[in-house]
Amino acid sequence: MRTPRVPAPSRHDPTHGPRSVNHSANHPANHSANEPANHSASEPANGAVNLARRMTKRLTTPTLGLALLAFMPLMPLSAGPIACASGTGTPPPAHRNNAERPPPFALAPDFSVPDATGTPRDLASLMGPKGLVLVLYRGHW
Amino acid sequence: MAVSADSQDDAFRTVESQGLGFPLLSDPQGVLLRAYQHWDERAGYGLAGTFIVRPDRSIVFYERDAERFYRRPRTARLLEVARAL
Repeated sequence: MRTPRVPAPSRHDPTHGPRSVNHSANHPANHSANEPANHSASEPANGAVNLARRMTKRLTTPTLGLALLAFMPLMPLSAGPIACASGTGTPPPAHRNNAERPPPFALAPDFSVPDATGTPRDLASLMGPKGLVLVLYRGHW
Repeated sequence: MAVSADSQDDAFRTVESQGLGFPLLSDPQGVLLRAYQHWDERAGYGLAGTFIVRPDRSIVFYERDAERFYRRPRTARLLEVARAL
């Protein structure tokens, strides 16, 4: 029915190169922010294990829970690079990941392309009194 | 308005399913998308981007998302620019 539209690597887009570096630049910041939490978290883990040795078997399950909690700070370390790579992590500040840039031409080119009902539309016919928001989207919805 | 390389039938389905109240253009040959430098020649479909054009055809806003279409849209910024027109 339709040809598969697999996202191609962004390096095919020549205007992308310098901008895409921004995301990988965030990785060191993520790591350094998380590392102190890991060191402090390992102490409660040891304490929990020592406590477990002195307790009855009935306490095994809660102790395991404590140990799991102690390892939870490790998770952002592994999730960080993935989130940066996919761009679906925590919403960044407005000034980051900004695709806004100078336009590739001074004046919007005219065109004549049919709309969803087959009616030809050109730039002048679509222009409103204040202007036009022209969204180019990937399609395949 | 919005445009993609979807066929006219697919564009019509999108208008219906999304309840769109603005024109949705079908550009499978990449006429508009090439003119606006948002056409992937190898794959044969459009690249994501947004223009806000003044009545004199000058461009007041442009963002290029291309293959990073999943990060869109930044509606707050778009509305900010559009309301200032």
